[in-house]
Amino acid sequence: MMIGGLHINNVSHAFTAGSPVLNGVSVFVAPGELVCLLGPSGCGKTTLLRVAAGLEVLQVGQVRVGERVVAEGRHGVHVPPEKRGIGLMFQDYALFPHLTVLENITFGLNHAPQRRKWASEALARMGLEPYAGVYPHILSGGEQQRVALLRALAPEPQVLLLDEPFSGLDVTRRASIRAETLGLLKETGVATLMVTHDPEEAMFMADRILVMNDGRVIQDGTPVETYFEPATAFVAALFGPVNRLRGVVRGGHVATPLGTFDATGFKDNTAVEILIRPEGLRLARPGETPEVRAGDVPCKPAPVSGRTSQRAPIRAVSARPLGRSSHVVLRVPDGDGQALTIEARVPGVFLPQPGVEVQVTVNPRQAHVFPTK
Amino acid sequence: MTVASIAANLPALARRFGRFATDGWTLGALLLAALVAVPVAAVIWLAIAPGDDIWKHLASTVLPYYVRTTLILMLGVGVGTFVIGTGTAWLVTMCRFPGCRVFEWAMLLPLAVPTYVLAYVYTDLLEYAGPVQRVLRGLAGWQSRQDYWFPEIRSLGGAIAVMTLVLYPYVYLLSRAAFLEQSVCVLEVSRTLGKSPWQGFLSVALPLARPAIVVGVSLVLMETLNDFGTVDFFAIGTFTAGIYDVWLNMNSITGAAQLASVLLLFVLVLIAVERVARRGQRYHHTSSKYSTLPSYRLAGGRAALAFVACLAPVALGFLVPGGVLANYALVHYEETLSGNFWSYARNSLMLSSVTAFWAVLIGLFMAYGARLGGGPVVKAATRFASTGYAVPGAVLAIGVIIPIAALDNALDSLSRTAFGVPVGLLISGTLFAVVYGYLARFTALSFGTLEAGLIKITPSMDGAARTLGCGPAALLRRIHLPMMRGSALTAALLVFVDCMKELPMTVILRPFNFDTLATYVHQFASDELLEESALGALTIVATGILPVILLSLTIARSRPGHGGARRPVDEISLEGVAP
Repeated sequence: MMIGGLHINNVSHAFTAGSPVLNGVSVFVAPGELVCLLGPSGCGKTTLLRVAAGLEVLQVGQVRVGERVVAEGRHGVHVPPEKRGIGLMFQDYALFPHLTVLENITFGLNHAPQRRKWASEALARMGLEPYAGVYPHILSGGEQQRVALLRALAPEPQVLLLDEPFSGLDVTRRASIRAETLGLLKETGVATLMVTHDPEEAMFMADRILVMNDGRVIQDGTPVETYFEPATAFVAALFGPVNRLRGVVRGGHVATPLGTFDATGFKDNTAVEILIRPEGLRLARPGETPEVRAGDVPCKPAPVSGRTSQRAPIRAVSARPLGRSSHVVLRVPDGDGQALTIEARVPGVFLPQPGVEVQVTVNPRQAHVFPTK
Repeated sequence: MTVASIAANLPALARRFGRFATDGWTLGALLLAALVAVPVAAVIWLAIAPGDDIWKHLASTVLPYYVRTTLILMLGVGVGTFVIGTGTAWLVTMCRFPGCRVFEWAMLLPLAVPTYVLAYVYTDLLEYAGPVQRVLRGLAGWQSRQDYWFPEIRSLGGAIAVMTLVLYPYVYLLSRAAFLEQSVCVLEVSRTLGKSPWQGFLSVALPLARPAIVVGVSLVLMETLNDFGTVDFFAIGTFTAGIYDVWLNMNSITGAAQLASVLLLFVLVLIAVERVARRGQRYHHTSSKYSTLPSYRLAGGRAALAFVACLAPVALGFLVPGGVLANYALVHYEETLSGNFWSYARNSLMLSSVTAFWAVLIGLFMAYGARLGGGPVVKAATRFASTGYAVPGAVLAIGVIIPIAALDNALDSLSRTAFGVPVGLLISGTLFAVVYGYLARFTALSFGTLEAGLIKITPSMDGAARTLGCGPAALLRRIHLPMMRGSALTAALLVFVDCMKELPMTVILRPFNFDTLATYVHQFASDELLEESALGALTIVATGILPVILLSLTIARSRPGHGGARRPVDEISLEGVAP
């Protein structure tokens, strides 16, 4: 028997007939679990939250909180938002400007004196105690964010929805507030569905990541799965810039200017593209022994056409230090007299002069083969 | 259908009802827009209706004269308010000289003085028998008019001067807001590229503020077209005076409507200019980096010049008339109070409060209709309804008379045929007609203010309150009522003050022998009895100061970094303070 949590089953939604914003989306969030909806803006993430909260009337599908059906398209069930036990924190926080910080937090508590005590304690723990009596507009962005979070948590909702909760914060504060928020959510054991377009944020916060695009869920997995086993090229590219190589499958392998990659499961003559993350490349200077791990693909520019046996070396074009890592642009001859430009990101300081030859190996877990559309 | 299936279908029914409710908003907003639109439509209809056609007559007699005078008046007032408004705004915003902090808000004071009051006061001061010429004659030993030349105040030039002094704060307000908003960076860039402060003003600041200035000047020109008291008193043939003259003296309502429709054309052009300029304002935001504005510290002669440049408009537009009126009021208050002063004050108060009440109710309905109904029809209807404010009072008054007279005639003939009893004119010349006219013109004010207040309650606040357990009723009670209270009070105040000052509509629509403070002051001043009605004029000016105070508070808190930990003050729409 299933208990608690948020169940969104097969929800479709369209604001104008014919162009659906959501297209058969299903999401399950268990109590205590934090699920991130990750996707570009306009992919339907926020609409899904509004449908779940009851701010949009469900058109097709079903929403349950535990065993309780709160919205069902077919039967016209629509429990109003105030009766769903679902909390929602808005991207702009939506603090009430005419109420003090404490009044904001206790807004949803009508008959629960013990929760008022919780509210004061939570304020104190977050270092916001001195602000209990002030109006929200004098708070900093981070403080407003915490007040909004406490306000959403105060009525002890079974489900909490967060709409881009950290997008309004400046980068320097974001990391610490993220960690603090995660701690608070895990402590309360609420089922949390969070929307974000920042993959790093999703990786940090989520137990599971649901990647959405064009109103559909295209991948549902743990952060590690989503990062290392992207279901489509779109998902792979979501986590940052990638190097794209093209090739054709022959005998379960695909040969590229960077080397030959495993393409098990593809039919012969399938046109594919290989996406390699910049951090999936390992570099070494000539003469140095490159760090090669089991399974790594050594990159020797292959004589693709076989006309020449001479292999042109891979050379550095530019190298820039980024602090913890270095960003290196490489020129890879493709055997036809042309060359590709690829990017690598390697740990530490690795700054070859332009034109210097570089040895390259690829971590196959960071190289993903997809059929070309 | 079983009870269970009905119960299961209830939410769907409720949703269908919800859709009907939003249609109710549409319907209501359309109805209210129509109420405002009827007067304007009536004017146009009567002007183009065949029949009593005096177009040719008008065109061959008064029309060219009215057009010329009105254009000269608009040009003069436009240039005058532009120079004084932007000049003082720049001095006060960018320069530091003795008293500049005080001038920031004091520059607004002339807004409190209705144009016609200023006209009466200056006529009183500057006419042949007035104190200024008397002193001059005494000093120079002149005996009669033939001995010297003195400018005639009751002239087109006098009207331009008077209106400029009262209306420049519109331009001041908007250009100052634009100067405050503009990024310091662009000014500093112009300095590093070799421009002097003065060149920077001309080549960077002024062009950047151009949309705001255009909005300000078009508001000024709308008010110029609306003015009746000054042009009537100075006997200048502008359209507004002409409408009144053709209607009352030539007894031709069709002719009045035809003049009014030409005046409407002027207004339409102004509205279009203003809208385009407002749209342009968005593109003139250069960067969002605000820091303290640099201030050119003026010293010596320059500081004195700046001081005088700012003091002169305030003194001429507010201090002198205020002083003269206060002086007269002190001397003559006993006879004023023993007259009908209290009954006039009561009439003004009653009309203004009733109108303010209804304007806020209607404005609330329209603002919520635009938010909840949301469709393009509702948006267009509310936008149309809010143009009533741009239509001169004389035009609206003619437009109110026509449909009401038609309604009265219809009622009368209905009563005759049904009961054989004539009921006569039931509504014409009643206070209902006056309030209707006021509402047609001033609802735009309350709507604008309330809409601006409602925008602050973001949709996500509604959503947050709902997910925190508020039903629709609780949402209204706990979020909307407390947050809208300030805006509603402001809206009521603005409408109230504008009604207190209103002259042309009141003169045309009032019942026989009914006077407000404004018509009483106008009547007495026209009869050269300003001294005795000074208390009335002073009362109007004093009421007019209330929105000026509100406005200067709002501006002081509008720039980032000003105003600290106070609760936000509801913004006032700039059209909010009409002289």
